[in-house]
Amino acid sequence: MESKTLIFDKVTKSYGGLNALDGFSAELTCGIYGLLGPNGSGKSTLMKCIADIIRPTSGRITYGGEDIYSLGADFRKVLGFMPQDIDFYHSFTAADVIKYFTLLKGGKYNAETVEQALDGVNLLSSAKKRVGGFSGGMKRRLGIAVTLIGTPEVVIFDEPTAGLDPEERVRFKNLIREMGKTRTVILATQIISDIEAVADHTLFIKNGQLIKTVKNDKNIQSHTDVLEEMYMDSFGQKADSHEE
Amino acid sequence: MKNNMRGGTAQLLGFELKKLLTAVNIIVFLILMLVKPLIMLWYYPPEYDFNLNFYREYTETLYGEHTPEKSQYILDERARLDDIISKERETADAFTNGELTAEEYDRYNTELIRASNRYPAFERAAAHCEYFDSLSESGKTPWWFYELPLSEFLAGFGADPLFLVFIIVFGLRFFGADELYGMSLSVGATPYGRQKRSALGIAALVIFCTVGCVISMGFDMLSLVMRCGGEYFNMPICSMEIFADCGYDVTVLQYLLLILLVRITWSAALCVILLTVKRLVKNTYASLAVSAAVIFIPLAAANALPDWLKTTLAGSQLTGFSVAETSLDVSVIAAVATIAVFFAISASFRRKL
Repeated sequence: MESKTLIFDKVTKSYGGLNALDGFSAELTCGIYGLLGPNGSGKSTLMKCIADIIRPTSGRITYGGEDIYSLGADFRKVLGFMPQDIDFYHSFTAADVIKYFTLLKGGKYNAETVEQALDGVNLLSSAKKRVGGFSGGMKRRLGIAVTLIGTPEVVIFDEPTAGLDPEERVRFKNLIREMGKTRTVILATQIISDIEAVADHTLFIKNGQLIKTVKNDKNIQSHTDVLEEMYMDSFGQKADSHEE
Repeated sequence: MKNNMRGGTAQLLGFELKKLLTAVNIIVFLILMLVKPLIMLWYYPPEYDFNLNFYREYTETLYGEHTPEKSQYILDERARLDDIISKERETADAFTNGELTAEEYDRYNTELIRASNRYPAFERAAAHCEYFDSLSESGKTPWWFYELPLSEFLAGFGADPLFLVFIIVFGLRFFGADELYGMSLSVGATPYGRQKRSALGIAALVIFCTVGCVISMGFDMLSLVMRCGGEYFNMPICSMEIFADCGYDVTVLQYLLLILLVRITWSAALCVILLTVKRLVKNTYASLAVSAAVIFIPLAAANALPDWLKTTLAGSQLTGFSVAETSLDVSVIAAVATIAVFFAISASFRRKL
């Protein structure tokens, strides 16, 4: 898979007089990027801008050299986005959700692809169960499966591990590691250990600005401590360093 | 490739329909549909008016296509009745003068009472005949049949508030489902999660409403059969004076089917109105209030509407006017125009999701 560069060029998003994003600039290529910042730092706004849910007040976001808003649906075809608060129509079964999103992404499904998608997040046994009866963790797992439909080139996860049990977190991290080899994965979280475990780079975001980029060295035994220290330095508050 | 896309579109439409077919929606739909015949029965109880029996007798005597012979029959009958009634004084005098026997005078009195009792019904039949004669120039062929119950039923056959409530509740629930279930972002980030899905959503709701319209009309027809019998469905609509201005030479059944078409077109218009309202007003209760206002204001202010608007909206269920007042083609055009206008509003105010 050819890797294209996702470039943020002085992206600003204002609400009234308040800048949720303030001249954010970065270049992301193939790999896993951890987006770290406190609440209200602009993480979600940035991800909504990438997903074309909202558009920047100024600045550009390009993918492979082309403006993502000009690409429109063509860009969304290569995008996988899992928002923080995710749920699905309660009358749908897990299999229905997979089929529905496969169609929304312009793909085709069959029994095998649906099984594969659900098996990847350990929900195969719940394929025929209605989403209305799912726990929060099951819905997040289903959200992960939905995000990965169509093997997107750019994948965005907003707080993906919240509500997942330890076993599922491990499974999710393995999945992300695999994905990061061939595509651009953006992982926004406040849980430092998640970023430490999988991210190749950590982007520190504060008041809508990129204040620091760190290439993660997974050879350092206590990398979590390093990141936590940086977090403290950058934001002046303690991050969630461990899994809940 | 194209076939694949078509297949995908059909499957997506199937899922949009599945969103509508929840257990709660189906139960509410069935309750509304069961309540309707009860209301219809209460509103149009079967009526037995013995005073109209004479009129019924005339219509049964003249049953069938209107012909000049039937006009002549009315003229002859008028002459006969007038003759009997006009001789009252003369006959009384003849009996007083001994020119008539008591038996002959009794026989005359019996005829006089019959003629007097029959006269109002005859006047009605004569007016009906006059109306039929006036149609001869238009080329329409009215039929004689006992049309009063049917005419009365169709004159009161206008708005269906239950159906309007049904559309508002289901439409808003449907268009608000993404926000309700927190799916706006994940769906909006997909290539076909916006315009195409909106269009398919409207299509699904229109299909659902069409089925609702058909069932609702089915209940109306059932009420009509209970009240008037089913044999009159094939009668020309022009046989009833309330359709004097109707421009269509069709049967009762065909007219009801045309009304169904108008209602379906207006249902589509209502769906687009609801989508627009939902896009402009995010809050569920506020959108419910705005939708109810937009849809029920014409019903509440029906009498204040100008005539052209009355005839336009009469078949739409948006007013309480009789379907007999409907200008079907204008109404369909108005519905299509409403769809276009609200689509334009919806598009210009369209939020990102």
